[in-house]
Amino acid sequence: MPNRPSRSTVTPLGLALRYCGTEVRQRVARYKQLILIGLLLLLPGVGEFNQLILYPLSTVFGQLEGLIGAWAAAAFVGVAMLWAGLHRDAIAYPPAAGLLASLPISRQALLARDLLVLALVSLPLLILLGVALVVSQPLGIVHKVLVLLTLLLATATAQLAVIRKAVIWGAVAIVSAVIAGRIHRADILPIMVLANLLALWKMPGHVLGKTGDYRQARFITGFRRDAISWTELHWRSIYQSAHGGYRLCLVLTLSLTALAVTLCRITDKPMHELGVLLAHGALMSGLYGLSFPTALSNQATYRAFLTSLPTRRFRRMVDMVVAVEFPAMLLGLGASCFASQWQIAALALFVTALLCCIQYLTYQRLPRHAVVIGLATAIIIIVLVLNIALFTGVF
Amino acid sequence: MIVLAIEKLTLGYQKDPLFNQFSHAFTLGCHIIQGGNGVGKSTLLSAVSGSLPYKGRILVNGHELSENGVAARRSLGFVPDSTEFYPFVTGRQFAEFVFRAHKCGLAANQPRYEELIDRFNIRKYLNYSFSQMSLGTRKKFFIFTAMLLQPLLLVMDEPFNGLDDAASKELIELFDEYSRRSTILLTCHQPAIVECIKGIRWTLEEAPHAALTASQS
Repeated sequence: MPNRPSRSTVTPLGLALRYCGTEVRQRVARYKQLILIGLLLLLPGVGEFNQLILYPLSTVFGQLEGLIGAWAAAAFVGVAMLWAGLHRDAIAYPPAAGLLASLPISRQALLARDLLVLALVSLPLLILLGVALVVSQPLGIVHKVLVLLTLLLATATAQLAVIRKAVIWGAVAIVSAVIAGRIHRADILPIMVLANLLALWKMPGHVLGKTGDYRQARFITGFRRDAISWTELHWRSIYQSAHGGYRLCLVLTLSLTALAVTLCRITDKPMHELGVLLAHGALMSGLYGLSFPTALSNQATYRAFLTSLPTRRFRRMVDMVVAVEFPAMLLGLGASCFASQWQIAALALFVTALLCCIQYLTYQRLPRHAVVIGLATAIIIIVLVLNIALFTGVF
Repeated sequence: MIVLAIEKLTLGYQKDPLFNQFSHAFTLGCHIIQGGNGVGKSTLLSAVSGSLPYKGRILVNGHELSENGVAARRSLGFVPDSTEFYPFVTGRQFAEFVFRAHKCGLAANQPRYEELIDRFNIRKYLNYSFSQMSLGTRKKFFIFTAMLLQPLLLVMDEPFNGLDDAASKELIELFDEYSRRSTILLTCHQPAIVECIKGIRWTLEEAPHAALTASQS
């Protein structure tokens, strides 16, 4: 019997779902340590999580007609939009976008594909919404279903608006979510449902970048300078990398820096301060170090030409470390400003710089185990530095 | 004057090397390396440009490539077969980047900047990024930058691939001009073009190679 290609790969939807599945798997594999650390950090804060996220979201489905529900609904849709923005690569493989656009695929098929893929990548958010629905206060089943339907459709519309760059329809979705969260009237909610269905139907198709890759097309207009250095070359390649580079880490690293500063301010023991700043430096260098594979693989791609240039290897190494780790050093510097003694700040910065260089070496020599080796090395160095400081009684 | 000297070069697969104790000295002028597919033309050029590890010695303007790499590369301009580069870099930025790496000041300040831009007809693409350029235009920027550098050694792997007729003619004229003060080492698969280039033709026969065979002057 002749070999037949699997049906799952011959339809646009199957292709997108397979690509999306691969993307999600790769992301989970890449960030598994971070996901684990995040989950472990969340465990002690389940109560706060309830108070901060679940309770406001459950009021959307509750009897309370107030601002909390409206804000929670708008925030949910807003977060879903950002989430979709982060995952837009998963919707369609950018280099193939031009070819896909040339195929005779119906508008409905494309809509179905995009919505299904968006639903797949937004599964954690949908589960959260489901939990909020279950724990919400009693309300008529018809009302609950209508609110849920409005919110789901508003989320889908908003996410699709981000992917397809249709701002107006995104605004319609947010407004409808706010109304659904604030007014639980059975005569208003169906109108919101209809408005979202109309938005989904009327929304324009995919906007292709000039090159077929929207990331590049978007970026080109941003920077125009004649001179370009090695550092800038790496910096820009990381900035526009498929998985976000600096952008992906920014919220997390800023939050961790704020936490480190708070801990520094409330403790009156210099050794505690030093410990916090060292741990902060290790986390920053580790998180931003995740961009080393991008910079190194780009360098490998254009190796044939780059190696013909008369630049010393050490200089290239320094340039790459600076390009990848400069946000870590900046945040380390920011946190160190709040140290009570300059010696603590200087030591913390020195250790952060050292860890940044170690990150480069591990990613270059042992890329498969770089995260684990980087973390282990950081822990050993921090323990060593703290013990030396304790033993010598400097602080 | 010997610009490029290759001494006892061993290169290729460990059990089946493409070059075994290969030696050759290239003087000023244009040298065209010919041979069938897979005989090792691009491999040789890659080694000379410093992108492949090798055993033996490659001396560029008297500097050994792996021992004194920076000094050797200062005399080297390279145009690879594949003209892919960071997609966000514009043509102008590419030239400036290469000049910065060579510490030769600004590309735009070079006396032949305007002339070469016009000869290759790339003025309107100066602010285009590599992702927006066609294969031929990307190739033109690689060649333009290498020519603007005016290095002692120009290494070009299939420089005519993707070039239009006008640019090919300009390049042939430039080879003639540059070959008086530089060593140009190139490969080319188009016989009609090879016929037009004034230079020494070398042939790589069956691997492993120990020397080049002069085929026609």
